[in-house]
Amino acid sequence: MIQDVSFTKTTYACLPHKFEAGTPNIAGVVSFKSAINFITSLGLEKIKLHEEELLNYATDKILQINEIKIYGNAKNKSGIISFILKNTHPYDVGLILDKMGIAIRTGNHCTQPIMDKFNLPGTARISLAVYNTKEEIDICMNAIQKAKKMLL
Amino acid sequence: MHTIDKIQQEIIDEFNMFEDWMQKYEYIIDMGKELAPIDQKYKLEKNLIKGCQSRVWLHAEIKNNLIIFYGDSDAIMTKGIVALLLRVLSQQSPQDIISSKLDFLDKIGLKEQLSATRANGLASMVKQMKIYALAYNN
Repeated sequence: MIQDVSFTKTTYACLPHKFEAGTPNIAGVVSFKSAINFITSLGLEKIKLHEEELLNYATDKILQINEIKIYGNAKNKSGIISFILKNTHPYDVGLILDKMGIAIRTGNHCTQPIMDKFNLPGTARISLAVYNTKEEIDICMNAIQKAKKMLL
Repeated sequence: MHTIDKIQQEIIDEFNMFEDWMQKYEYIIDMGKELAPIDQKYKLEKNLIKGCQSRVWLHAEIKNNLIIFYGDSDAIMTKGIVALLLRVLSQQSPQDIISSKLDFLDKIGLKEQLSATRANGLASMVKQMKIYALAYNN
C-alpha cells in the first residue's frame, strides 16, 4: 500500500501494510467470462451512449448545486465527475454519502501532483457505468444536498 | 479532575441519546467545528499522523505532570474525532494515558462505521498519543 506519490519520491505505508500482497483475483478470473458475455451482449457502442447520457444528466444535476465545482471538463471524458463541495473536505462528503449507501471515491486518486497544482487535498468522485441509472443519480444528488446541509 | 474512564462513560451516555447515525455525525461535526484550530507553528510535517486519509496534526506538551494535547484536521469529521480523543486524553498524567483502555470508540459505534483504512487512521492517532505519554513518562 502506498503512502505518498510524487515525481521525486514514492513512499510506502507503515508496516505491515507496505507488504500487502493481495490474493490472486481467482473469483475475478472465473467471473470474467460472464463479464465478457455481458459486454458483448450489449455492444460497446450502446454502453458508450448510456454512459454519455448518464454523464450529461449527472453533470447538469450536480451543477444545480451552487457550491459544487467540477474538476475536469475535457471533451469526450469518460463517465466520471470529480468535484469539490466548496468549503468542505472531500473525505467528509464521502463519509456521509457512504452512510446513505452511495459509494463514491474520495482522496487524491493517486494523482498527488495534479492535486498540488489545484491546491486541493483531494476530490470526491462519482463514477458512472453501464449498470447505473438516472434514478441513482437523483438519489446521489439528494445525498449531496444532505451532506451540504450537515457540513456547511 | 475527571478520570479517563469517567469521561469515556460521559461520551457513551451522550451518544446513547442519539437515535440515528445522522445525529451522531452531526454531533461529531459540531465538535470538529468547535475545536480550536491548532497553532500554525505546530502544523508541521513531523506532527502529521500517518495512515489517515485526511491530514491530522498532533502536538503534545507536559505541564505539572499532565499532558496537554493539541490536534487538528483538514476534514471536519476527522477533527470531531480528534476532539473526542483530546477530551478523553488531554490533561491526564502520562501513566494514566499509557494504561488507559479506550473502549468508548467501540461503544459509541464509531469503529464499526469506519472502513478498514479509516479505522487504521484512528488506531494511529491513539497510538501516537500513547507514544507521547511514554516519552513524557519519566
